[in-house]
Amino acid sequence: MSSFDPKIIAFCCDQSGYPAADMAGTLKLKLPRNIEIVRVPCAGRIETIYLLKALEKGADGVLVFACYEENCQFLRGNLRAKARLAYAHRMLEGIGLEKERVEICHLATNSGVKFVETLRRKSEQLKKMGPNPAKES
Amino acid sequence: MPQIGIFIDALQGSIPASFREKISDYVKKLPGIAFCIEEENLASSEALNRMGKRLEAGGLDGVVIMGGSPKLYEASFQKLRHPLPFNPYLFAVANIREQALWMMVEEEAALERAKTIISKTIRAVSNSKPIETQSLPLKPEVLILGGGVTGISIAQELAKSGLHIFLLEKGNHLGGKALELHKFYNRPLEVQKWMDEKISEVKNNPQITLFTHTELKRLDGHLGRFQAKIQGPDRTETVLSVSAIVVATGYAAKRETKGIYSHKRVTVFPEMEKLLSETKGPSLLWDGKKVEMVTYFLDGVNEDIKVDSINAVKQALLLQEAFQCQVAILCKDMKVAADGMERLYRKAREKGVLFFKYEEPPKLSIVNGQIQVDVRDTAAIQKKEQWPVSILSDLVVVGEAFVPAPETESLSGLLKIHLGNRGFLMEDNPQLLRVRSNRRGIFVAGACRFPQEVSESLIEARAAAQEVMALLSKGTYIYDLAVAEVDPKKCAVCYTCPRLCPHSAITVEKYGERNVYIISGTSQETKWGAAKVDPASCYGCGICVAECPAKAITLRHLTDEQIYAQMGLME
Ligand SMILES: Cc1cc2nc3c(=O)[nH]c(=O)nc-3n(C[C@H](O)[C@H](O)[C@H](O)COP(=O)(O)OP(=O)(O)OC[C@H]3O[C@@H](n4cnc5c(N)ncnc54)[C@H](O)[C@@H]3O)c2cc1C
Ligand code: SF4
Ligand code: SF4
Repeated sequence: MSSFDPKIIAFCCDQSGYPAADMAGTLKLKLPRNIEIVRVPCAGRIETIYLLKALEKGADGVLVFACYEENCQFLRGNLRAKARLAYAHRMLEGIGLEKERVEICHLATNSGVKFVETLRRKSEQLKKMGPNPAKES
Repeated sequence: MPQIGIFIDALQGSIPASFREKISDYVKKLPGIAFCIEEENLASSEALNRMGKRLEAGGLDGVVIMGGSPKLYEASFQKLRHPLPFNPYLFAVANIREQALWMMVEEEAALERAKTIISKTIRAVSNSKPIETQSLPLKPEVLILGGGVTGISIAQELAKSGLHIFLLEKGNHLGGKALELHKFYNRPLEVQKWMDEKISEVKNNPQITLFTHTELKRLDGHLGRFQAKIQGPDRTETVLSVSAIVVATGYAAKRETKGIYSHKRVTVFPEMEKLLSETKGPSLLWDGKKVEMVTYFLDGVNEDIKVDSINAVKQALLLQEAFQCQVAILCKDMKVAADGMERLYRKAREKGVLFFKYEEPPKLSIVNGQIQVDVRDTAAIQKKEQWPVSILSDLVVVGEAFVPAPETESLSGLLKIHLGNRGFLMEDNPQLLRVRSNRRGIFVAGACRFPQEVSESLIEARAAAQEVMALLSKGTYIYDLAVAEVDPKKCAVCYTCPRLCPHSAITVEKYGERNVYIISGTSQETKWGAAKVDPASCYGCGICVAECPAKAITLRHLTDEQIYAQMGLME
């Protein structure tokens, strides 16, 4: 199990998440290897099905990087995303998957450190959990 | 097989030559690559010119830039405003510097990661379609709601730029709250004289159509084609069609009347202003008696004490200088964060106005027909020096609560704009877009946003006027169709999207056949209702797309396929 390198899909909103990822790069902070960054205009664009499809098609975990609450450029996109995450959590629980595999993290443009630390923490957590048993092989 | 052109950006050497070489070797082996060119600094105008020439040759389905963050290129393309002979939505950026080179410990891992990013980006751009621009004609006509100092000043400013203004006031005269003022704290002018001049200028300006005693009843349409139904005196209704709207409906003040606040020797700021403006003699009379001691009690009712702080200091100086009164000002915190207020505050101290800072609210009681104010002054640092003080006052002036104007809530419903804190109207982004509302083409300014003094209202008025001008001056609004689009055949009219769109860009409209939109006013038979996005009002956030239970909405510039490609799910 030691060679297990969890695959994480990280959705980044264009206002906070993506600039934070850029900031992390500029600071030369190191990321776990197996991460796909997906850029969306607003966390509100992320459909529930994307979260689930990510898990179905091979991700071990999903992170959504969005603006702080009350700070969303589109006023409530991040809250909609949060609501959809809660919905996805209920479905994951229904099929017996750990809901910790899908998480939202609120940050700001300059949160490069928080961005990387959240991904590292998630990667460690997923290593302990083991591979996502639901993914298609 | 789509043909893709590749530009590798060295970013002035920040992507080293050895890394670029490996990238270019990898790219050249991929299918469908028309060319792969390296540039030293792609964001420079020379490089962009070269790129332009290259793209003119045609034959490409997409272009991928391999370099730094897309934000970098978007900013430099934005500056150019589409001069490249290629649709901007067929460009994609593979961010191999920030997200690969700089984020991986070993070069090998960075290269692997860069390759993944590149193949995802190529796949995403192969799925892209060009996105057209559209233009919307804008008539030079603007509706302003509220004829206070803010609304008046915006009307004057816009009229100067040649726009036609409809100024709508629900009361029977212009002026608003500023009519209650006697003197400015920071200017020697008499407020009323200044206001009278402004009001008569507005009344005589042929560019301004004034409606008093008139209210907004209904608003349809979007930016450029708002239809405002207004109701005047005698219930006459008129429909105005305007390009933009400014809301400047001000605020209301609520007087506390419980207990001692109803005593005849307790009064409020506007009454004090009135008294000061009406008294000509050497001494001030209240209820037939000479006033010698006046106490101001600031944070009793009003949380927002900036306007009160300014007023108290301004009036205190007048009282001391013109009427030889002794004045005390009691407050938890003095707010002097306004232009010139610091100086005025210092002057008041020098002239002998007494300031008491308290933690425990002062007690008011009636002693021999006067009001006794008991307060513990906490200005001294040592606890034992914090003496209790009693002030026997002829007059106590208290603040009023500043609340949103009574119709603010129903107005926000009519206009479909957001209410913020405490029910005041809210700006779109408090840091960046202060006078824009959440809807394109609707602006908010003045005291309807938060309690403020006149010089702030004037600044807001100027800002709002500039925003309106920037929008209308060209006569057209040009925008990319990078927006959401509803397929009326799939829409189940569940009203989810009109409710959730943060920019109120969606309405349910009538359709003839399932996909034939009926323009209002024509006599065609309507068969279906379906949601419709107004493309000029949509900000492209994608919230409606993700939320529609019927999957009837697509975001034209970021489809499911493009997201799945980014997720690496389109192998
Ligand atoms: C007691 C008091 C003391 C003040 N002292 C000072 C001071 O010393 N110095 C200073 O600089 N500032 C002072 N101010 C603040 C100053 O009065 C305001 O900043 C300024 O008047 C705000 O202007 P406005 O046009 O935004 O709002 P308002 O003056 O409130 O005007 C709003 C107008 O809109 C109209 N309206 C409301 N709703 C509608 C609707 N639905 N449709 C159409 N019309 C509508 C109203 O009838 C009103 O005419 C004081 C305010 C008060 C209350
Ligand atoms: S959410 Fe979808 S189904 Fe519901 S009104 Fe909007 S477009 Fe129609
Ligand atoms: S994309 Fe956003 S702004 Fe545009 S219609 Fe949908 S929810 Fe409204």
